[in-house]
Amino acid sequence: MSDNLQPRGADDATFAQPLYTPIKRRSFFMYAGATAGATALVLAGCSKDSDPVTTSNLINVGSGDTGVLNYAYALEQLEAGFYTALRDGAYYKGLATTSAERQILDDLYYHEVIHREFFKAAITSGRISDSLKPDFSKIDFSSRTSVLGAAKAFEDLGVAAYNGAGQYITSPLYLTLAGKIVSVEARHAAIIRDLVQEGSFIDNSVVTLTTANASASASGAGPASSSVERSMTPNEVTAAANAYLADGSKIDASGLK
Amino acid sequence: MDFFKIIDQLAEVDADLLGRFDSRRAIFNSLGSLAKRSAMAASPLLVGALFNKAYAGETGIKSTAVDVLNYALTLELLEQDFYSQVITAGLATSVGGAAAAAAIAKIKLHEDQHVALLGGTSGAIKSLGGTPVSGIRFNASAIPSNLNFATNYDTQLLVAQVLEDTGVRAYKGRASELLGTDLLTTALRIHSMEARHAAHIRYMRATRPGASTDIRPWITAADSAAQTPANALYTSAYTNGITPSTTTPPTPPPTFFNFGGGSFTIPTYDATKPSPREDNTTQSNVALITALGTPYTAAEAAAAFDEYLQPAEVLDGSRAGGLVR
Repeated sequence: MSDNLQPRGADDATFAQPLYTPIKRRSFFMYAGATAGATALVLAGCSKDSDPVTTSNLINVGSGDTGVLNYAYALEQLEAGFYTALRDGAYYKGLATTSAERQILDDLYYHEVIHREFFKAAITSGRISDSLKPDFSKIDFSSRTSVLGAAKAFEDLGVAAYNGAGQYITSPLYLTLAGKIVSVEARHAAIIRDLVQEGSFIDNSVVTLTTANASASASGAGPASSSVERSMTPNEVTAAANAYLADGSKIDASGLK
Repeated sequence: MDFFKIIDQLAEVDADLLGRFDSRRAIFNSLGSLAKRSAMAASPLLVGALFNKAYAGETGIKSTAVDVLNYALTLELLEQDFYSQVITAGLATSVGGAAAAAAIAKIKLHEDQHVALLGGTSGAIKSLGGTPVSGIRFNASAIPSNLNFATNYDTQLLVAQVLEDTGVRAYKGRASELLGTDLLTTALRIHSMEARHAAHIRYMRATRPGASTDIRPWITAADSAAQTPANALYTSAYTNGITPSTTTPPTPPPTFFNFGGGSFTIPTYDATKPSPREDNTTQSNVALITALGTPYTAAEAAAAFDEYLQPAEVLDGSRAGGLVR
């Protein structure tokens, strides 16, 4: 498998106009069009990869593969913004420069900023705003409990979001790319949880262990005793994420389905 | 929308289509135990993805879902037996302490449940009509003797890290073969757990007395240059395919495996596309160090993304394949 998502520049069209490139999609349309009952299928197929639009003050990430990438980009903007604010806050500044916790928070900051900037560079067509405005007024950046609690929530949310959105990707390359990021998010979530309470890198709140836990039993619940991590639908994720985005920067991911 | 009616109508157009759909139909039939059948049938995009997959199969993607699941089960069984041996050895308790022992027990529980989910009586593989692999054991004697696996807790943690990081890379490497099926989401939800395991094992190693300060919860660029036996994992060495126990490496490398009556095949190693090393700093042709405005260090750029492995690399004698007996 190629390491490359796609060539940039010359093949930008592949990003926004999949109909012109993959042969398998042409096959799909040809055969779908030959069936009497396939109208809904064709319409749904044609709505893929629409450009993002802003409606009723929400930023719509769009649909199709571009929509999923925009969705991820929005979440990465939120996470990167959080760690940026964290490093300006009193709690972080009070940590000794050699402390393990500070080093971990620095690493998380860099990873998330790199993720954000990567999507900005890689989504060459149909990209949502590069400057979503966060609203972290609910977070006390001078409090360890508040800072780490928020970090835990963001990281757990990120993993559940990627887990739930993988199914909406059609390109193997994009899926692999999302996989490369989500496992790093899961590593983040685990270490933040260990900082909050050692050994809590996984618990019933994010994984269906011996019982299906209430907070993991939204649409993303797995069977009890299956040990699969929570996944969340785009609408569940945006409901949580929008609480930390300012008016005008809140996102709508309902086009992902 | 009647999914099966559409399939039937398609069959009139293309008589060969149903053949191409066989494994996908089997997946569909199994959804009762894995996901919400009605939700999938009602989702045009997923149906579309299913179509893509059927035709993509023509262009070389030959692995069936059962093959992918048996491959995953092989790794889960290896991890399960590994943790059994670690728990039996008792060092997690006597050397690591109560918190370490609890963590190992928790991870072992997850591996048990993944084994059941994939290979159990009502697991995914049987639901698809396949036969789960079984009898896979962790071969402790494959660990270099100077590392004293049986008596050295730090060696046990190192091997645990290797296995977990390999698991993460392995799931990542085959997820795209499940595109368009609900099995993809299940695989992703196991994948992220393996990453949490890996991060915690790394945390456990980092907090050991005298531990290197280079050990992080994520795979760093430095890991690619780590000491044996970990180093091969983080580069992309490919030597000779699976080498159970001490047998001579077979030539050519096998792509067919049979354990306990369950068998599976993996794609032939593609030497033209070796998997990226973990110190890779270019993603999707974007040079993360230099192309993002602000310059970032190679260490941060490499750690921000995990990498995948081809199945043949995972089952190579230098990685998980060398630890199977």
